[in-house]
Amino acid sequence: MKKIFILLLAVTFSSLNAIAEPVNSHAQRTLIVYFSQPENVKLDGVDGVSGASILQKNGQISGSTQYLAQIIQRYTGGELFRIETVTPYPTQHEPLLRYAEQEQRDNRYPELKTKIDNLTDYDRVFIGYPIWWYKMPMPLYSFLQQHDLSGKTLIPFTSHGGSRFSDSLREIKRLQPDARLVTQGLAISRDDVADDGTVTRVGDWLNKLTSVQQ
Amino acid sequence: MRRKYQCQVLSDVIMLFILLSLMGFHLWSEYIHEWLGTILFLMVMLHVGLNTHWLQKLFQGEYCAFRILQLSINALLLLLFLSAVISGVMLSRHLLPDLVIHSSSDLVRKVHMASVHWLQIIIALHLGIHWRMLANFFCKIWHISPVSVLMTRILPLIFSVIAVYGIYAFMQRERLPYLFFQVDFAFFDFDESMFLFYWDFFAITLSGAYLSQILIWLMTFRQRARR
Repeated sequence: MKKIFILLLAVTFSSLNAIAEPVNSHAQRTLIVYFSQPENVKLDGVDGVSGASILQKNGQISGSTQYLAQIIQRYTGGELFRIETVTPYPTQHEPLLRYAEQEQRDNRYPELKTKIDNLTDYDRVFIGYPIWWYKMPMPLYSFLQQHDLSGKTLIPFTSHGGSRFSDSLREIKRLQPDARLVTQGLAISRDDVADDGTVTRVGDWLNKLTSVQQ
Repeated sequence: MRRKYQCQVLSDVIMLFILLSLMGFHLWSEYIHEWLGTILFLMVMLHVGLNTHWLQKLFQGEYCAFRILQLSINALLLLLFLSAVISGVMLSRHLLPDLVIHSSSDLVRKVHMASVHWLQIIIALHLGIHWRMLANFFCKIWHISPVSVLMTRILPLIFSVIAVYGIYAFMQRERLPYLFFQVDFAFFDFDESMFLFYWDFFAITLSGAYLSQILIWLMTFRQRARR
């Protein structure tokens, strides 16, 4: 009788464990929010190297932050959400620089195309953006003001032109004081995003993140 | 005369402090950065104005190795200062935002970053050229004997240690790519302590000053050997 009981217990426990594992990894329902602005440059010339945030990978053209978001999605199974503005940004590099500069100077919050209504469905929100003029692009300010991310874990990632996260982490903290901001975000230079090692680099970073969080 | 010299040294110290604050773009707001740049520009004008006697003697006398070194450093200083000021004015977003020459292109930004980083090094060399002069000055006002153990052993030892640390800080902060137009946007760590930033950049400046002292020493050493 005792033996059967122990056996039963062992079976229940192991099956519990078996159930617990996938449940645990899905327990953190994940959303990947990103803003990405691909620029029109000749991909075969030197221009691609000079750091425009465009990427041609496997025949598909995407913004470099978008590409990072897609890799994160592949690893985490989260849902993607792209922040888009009603008025589109210039696609040429120098006009984009000027436009972004003016927008910052006027402290203009661009209107966004869509809002996320089911934020309660998510516990963990990855948030990705490039850095423009040492700041998050203004659409990120619009997004963070219009959404309440209290109690959620925020994980930033960026494809930058050298300034890594610049002051953006501080700004996210200011705009979302009740969210848990992970400060070990992923900062990849936009020149390196297209590298073959990027996928494994993102994977390593995600692994490190979960080991830190547990 | 002595009073005037005291004021000059004081303004030099303030200029060094402003220089370090300017290198720390992120320590102060962009608005203050532009004002500090303007103040430094005016102080440099004053500095040159108070030292016109040096300019007047430019075409007199013979040119020894030391004088050639000094002249080349100052000429470089002038060029870099001009390019830093002009690119700075072009980039200005608060004080002179609507100037005709305003431009926020990659090139102007890179010129500004490269010239200020070179400038820091050349200013340090310039400081090193006048090191002995300044040491004598501080000995006098603080009544320390120039041949005391403090001046001949202890302080040089402390400063050399800081200078070596400065080289480490230069490498660790990856300053080299800035000198060769390799950086699109400068990296600023907004979370680091202000004290550490000033300390590191002071140490970097000190290594530059020591470098020019070594150059001077090598030159005088060669001259002595020839005799």
